[in-house]
Amino acid sequence: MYEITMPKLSDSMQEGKIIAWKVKPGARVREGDVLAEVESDKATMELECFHSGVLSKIVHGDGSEVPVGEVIGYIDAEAKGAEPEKQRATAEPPEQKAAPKEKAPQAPKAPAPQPAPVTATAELPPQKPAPKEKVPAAPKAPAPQPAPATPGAEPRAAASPRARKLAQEKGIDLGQVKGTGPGGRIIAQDIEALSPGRASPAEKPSAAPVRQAAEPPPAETRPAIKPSPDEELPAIDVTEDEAEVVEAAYRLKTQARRVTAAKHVIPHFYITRSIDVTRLFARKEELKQKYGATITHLVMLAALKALKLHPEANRSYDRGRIIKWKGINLGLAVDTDEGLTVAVIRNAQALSLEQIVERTRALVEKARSGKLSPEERRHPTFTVSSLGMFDVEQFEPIINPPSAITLAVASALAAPVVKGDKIEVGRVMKLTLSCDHRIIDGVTAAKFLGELKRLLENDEELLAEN
Amino acid sequence: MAIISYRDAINQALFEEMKRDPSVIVFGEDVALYEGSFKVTRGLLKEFGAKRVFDTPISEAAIVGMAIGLAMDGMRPVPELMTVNFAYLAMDQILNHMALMRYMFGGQVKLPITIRMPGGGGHQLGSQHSHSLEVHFVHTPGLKVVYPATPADAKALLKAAVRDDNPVIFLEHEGLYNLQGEVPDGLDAAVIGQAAVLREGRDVTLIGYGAMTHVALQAAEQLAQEKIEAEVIDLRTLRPWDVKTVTESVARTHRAVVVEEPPPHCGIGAEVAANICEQVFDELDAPVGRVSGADVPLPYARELEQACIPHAEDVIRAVKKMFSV
Amino acid sequence: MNKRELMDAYYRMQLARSFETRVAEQYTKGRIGGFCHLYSGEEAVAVGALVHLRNEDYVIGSYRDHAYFLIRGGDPKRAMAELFGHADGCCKGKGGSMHLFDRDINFFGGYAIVAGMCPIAVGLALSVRNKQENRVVLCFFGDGATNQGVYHEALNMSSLYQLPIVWVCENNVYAIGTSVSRASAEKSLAQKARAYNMPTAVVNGMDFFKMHSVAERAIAHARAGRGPSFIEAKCYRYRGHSMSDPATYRSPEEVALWKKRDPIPRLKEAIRHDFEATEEEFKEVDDKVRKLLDEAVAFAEAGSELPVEKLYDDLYVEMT
Repeated sequence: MYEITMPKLSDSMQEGKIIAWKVKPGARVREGDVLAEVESDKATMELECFHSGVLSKIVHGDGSEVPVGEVIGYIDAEAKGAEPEKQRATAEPPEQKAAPKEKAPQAPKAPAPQPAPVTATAELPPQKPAPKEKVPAAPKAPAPQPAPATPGAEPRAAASPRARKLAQEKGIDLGQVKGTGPGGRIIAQDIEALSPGRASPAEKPSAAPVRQAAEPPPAETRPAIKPSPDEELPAIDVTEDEAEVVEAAYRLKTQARRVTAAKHVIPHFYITRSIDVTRLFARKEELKQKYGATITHLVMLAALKALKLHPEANRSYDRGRIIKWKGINLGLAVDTDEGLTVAVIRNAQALSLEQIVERTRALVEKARSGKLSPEERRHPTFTVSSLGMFDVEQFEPIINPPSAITLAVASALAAPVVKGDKIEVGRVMKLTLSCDHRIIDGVTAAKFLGELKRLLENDEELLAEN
Repeated sequence: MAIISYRDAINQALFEEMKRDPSVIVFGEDVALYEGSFKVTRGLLKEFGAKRVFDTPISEAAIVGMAIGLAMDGMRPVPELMTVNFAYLAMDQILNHMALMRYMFGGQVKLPITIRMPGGGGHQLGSQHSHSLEVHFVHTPGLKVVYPATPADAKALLKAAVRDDNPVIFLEHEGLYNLQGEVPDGLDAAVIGQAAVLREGRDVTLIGYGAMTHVALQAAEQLAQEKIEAEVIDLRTLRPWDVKTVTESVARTHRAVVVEEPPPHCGIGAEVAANICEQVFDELDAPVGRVSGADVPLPYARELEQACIPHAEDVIRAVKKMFSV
Repeated sequence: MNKRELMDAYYRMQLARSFETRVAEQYTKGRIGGFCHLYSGEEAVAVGALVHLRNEDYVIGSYRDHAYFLIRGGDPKRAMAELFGHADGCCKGKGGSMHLFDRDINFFGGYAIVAGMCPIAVGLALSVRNKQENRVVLCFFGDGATNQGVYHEALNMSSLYQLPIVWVCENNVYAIGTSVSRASAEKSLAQKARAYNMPTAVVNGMDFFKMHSVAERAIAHARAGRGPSFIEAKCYRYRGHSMSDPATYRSPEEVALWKKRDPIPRLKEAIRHDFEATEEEFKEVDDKVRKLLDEAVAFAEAGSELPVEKLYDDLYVEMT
C-alpha cells in the first residue's frame, strides 16, 4: 500500500488545494500518470504518480485543502515484483538550520533597591570627568553606595557613556560604583539605582585641552575634589570592652551624609515665634471629630496658606540658580523605625484640611512600612518637622533640601499668655523656621512666620474654605 | 637594500614568483605585448613566454572565469584587471563564483588566484575611472583582500598573495606607482593579515591603507607640532584585517580615526569602528572618527575632485575635534 | 556501436530518467528543498556526448546537473544525499541540487548563474592545453545562456586560443517560460556560435544515435587540437523548468508531441531491432537502476546535515 500525500510543490508551500482528481478509485495507474491537479500558493501543478498500481482510496476529494504531507489517497502497489513500500507518514519540510544563534546576553540584574528611600541630596560636589580620570582617594568613612570601591581601583572605571553622563549629572564618583554590566562595566542602571529621582543640573562636560603631553593634564583643569566632611573628624577608636561596633545600615549612612552635607553647605539662620494656640487647643476634640486633624495638621494647613501669600518662601537655591517651584510639595518629617524620613505631599497647595489629613495619614503609613515611592520622596519645597508630642519647647532642625525653609513645630505647652494687660493661662506653641540664607533673608522669614502666627491665632479664618 | 618604486616592486614580485613556481601565469588586457597599461608587467613576456604571459580580449568576466578554470586544474593564475573600475564587469565571477566555489563544493576545490587591480582617484579620470572598490571585496567571505601602501609591502604582499591557496584581491593605488621606497634584498613573502604600526604615538590612533596611509602619516607629522602624538597604523590587509593590532593601539591611545578614500557608507571605516567599539569600548574617550571620501561620484574638475579625497588637513581637523574643550 | 555499448547507453539514460523521477517524488515530500531542475527528456544529449569521454576528460555544466553527474559515473547515493542537504552528499550538503561536483569523475560542477561556468570551462581547457594533456572539456548549457554576455566572451576566447572545448547547447526551446523565438534575435543558436569562427552542428537531441555521432566528431576535433566546436542539440524537457514551474507556457499538445520522441523507448526499440535484446535484458537493467536508486534514497534518508559547528569549514584553505 502506497500513500499519496499532498506534495510540496514549492519551497514556501504549506498546504494545497485538490482542484480535481483525474482518476477514480479502482483505476489502474502507472508511473508518470497525472493523478490530480493541485493548487499551491504559487500555481496549479499536476500531482504525478510515482508508483504503478491501483488507486484504492481517495481520502480527500475535489476542493479539499490539505496540509503538505498529509495523506490524500492510497495506491495498492502491483503485486508483480513490487514490494510493499515503506513510506514515512509525513514529510517535514527540510529543517533550516540557522546560523548559531547567540543567546541574547542576560540583562544584568539591577541591585535590589533599598527598602528605605533615599532622599535627594548632593552627596559629593559634582566632578567633571577628566579624560584620564583617576579615582579620587576612597574616603575613610564607609562609602554610601551598596558596594565599596575596591582598594587600588583601576585608573579607569569601565563605564558606559550613558553611565558617565548620568554620574556626572548626579555628581556621583564612578570609582565608588560597582558595575553590573558585562565585564563589570558600570552601566546606566547602576547610577540610577543609587539616587533615584535625583537630578543635579548637568554641567557642560570638559575634555582635556588640546595640549596633551606625556604627563596627565595639569592640575588646574581638574576640579578640586572636596574631601568628605567626615574626614575632618577624628575617628573613634574603641576597644571591645568599651563598646560594640556594628556597621550602620545603608540608609543610616545615607542619612548621615545627607544631613552632614546640608549642615555643612547651607548657611542656616533661625527665627522663632510663640504662637497662642489656646483657641485651637480648646477645639482639639472638635477638630479631631470633624476633620481627624491634629494641631500639626493645622500648622500644615496654615503653612500652605501662608506660602501662597509668600511664594518667595517656596523657592530653592542650587549652584547659582533659583528654582521657583510651580507647586508646593509639602514635606513632612516622619519618624520611622529606621530613622527620620521626609514624606512629600505633591502639589499640596489646593488641599483642604480633610485632604491634608488623609494624605498625611497614607504617607505616614507608607513611610513607616518603607513603601514610599520616589514621587513621594521627591523635592519637598517646604518641610514641616514636628516634635509636638514630646513636650519640646523649641528646636532648630537642620534644613531638608531642596526646601529652603524647614518649619519646626514644638509642643503646645501651658504657658502664661498676655491678653491686653492681663496674664492668662493658655497654650503656647513655638514655631521655628530654619532658613537657607542663600535665598531666604530675615525679612522674608519674619513676614512668613508672622503670617503663620496670624493664621494659627485666627482659627476661623484658618478653617474657612477658600 | 634598494630604493625602488611601488610599480617596480610589484614587477619584481611577479618575476620572482614566476621563476619560483612554473604554475604561475599572468594574463589580462595588454599585459603581455604592451607590458601593461601601467607598465607593471614589463619584461614578463620576454622572460617567460607566451604560454605564461598572454593578452586577453576586453572580457573581464571571462578573464576571471578563465582564472577559475585554470586554478581548478592546478595552475596559479595572477590575472590583471586593468583597473578596479572594470572589476564591476567581472563581479559575478569574482563574488558569485570565485569567492564561494570552495565552500559550495564542500572543500573539493581550491582556487589559488591573485587578481591584481589598480584603483583610486585624484587624477581627473572622471567618475567611471576613479573608484575605490575594496568594500565590495572585503564584504565577501571566501576572499582575501590586500592593499599595500609602500613598495616593500607591495612586493612582500604580492608574493604572499600568489603563494596563498585562496583567492586574493590584490589592490594597488594608481597614485602610488611612482612612490619610491626601501625594499630589502631577498625580501620574503609577508604575512597576510598583519597590519603595520608605522609611527608610534600615545594620543590618537590613525588607521589607514593604500594611499590614505600616507595621508595619515602627513597628518601625524603636523599634529606632532601641536603636541598631539598620533600612532599610525597601515592595515595592509583589508580582509582578514588585523583587529588585534588596531584595538591594542586604541586601548593605549583611547582615540581612533580611520582614513579611507571611498565614501563612508558601510566602508572600512565603519567596519573598523564597529570592531573597536566591540573590543575596547571602555577604552574610548571619544567615538571613532572616520575621514572618508565625499559621498559622490568623483567629478572631473581638478579642485572639485581633490575636495572629494581626504587630505592631511581633514584628518587633523577630525583629530582635534576629539580634543576640543 | 555494439550491443554492450548500447545497453550501457540505455542503462545510463534510464538511470538519469529514473533518478529525476525519484527526485521529483522526494521533492514533493519535502525532503529536497530550494530549486530543483530536472533533466527528464534530454537524456540522449548527455549520454550521447558523455559516452565518448575518457575518465580524464572534463565536464562542466549548468544547474540541471544531476544527469551529468550520474552519467559520468557519479555515485547516486552521494547525489541524493547532497540533494537532501546531508553531510555525506558529494558537497557535504553545502551545494545542493544545482551544485553537484566530483573531482574523482572530473565533473567540475553545476552552476546556478546562467552561462557563469562558460569562462570557467575556458580556463579548464586552457590549462589542459598548456599542459598538453590531450584532455577535452565538455561544457553543457541551455538556449538561454546564448544571450548572456559572458557566454560570448567565453566562446570568443575559446576560439581565439583554439582550446579543446566542445560547447554543447541543449536547446530545449524554453528558458524558463521564454522561448528562443522571444529571446534570441538570431533563432539559430549555431549561427551565433559561428560568429566566433568555430565549426557547428545542429542535431536532433532526442535521437541518441544522431547525438552520439555528432558528439564523436566534435570531441575528436577538440582532441586533435583543432580547437572548439559547437553542438546545438534540439531537445525538450518533459518537466517544468524546475519543480516549482507548472510550465503553463507550453501547451499539452506540444508536450505530448515531444513525448512521442522520448529517446529512451526509441533507443530500446533500436537495440531490440538491431540486436534482438529481450525484455528480460531490459528488465535486468531496470531492476539494477531501481535497486541503485532505492539504495540512494535509503542512504539519503539515513543521513543528516553537517553539525552547525562545521558551518565555517571549507571557506578558506588554512595557510600555515
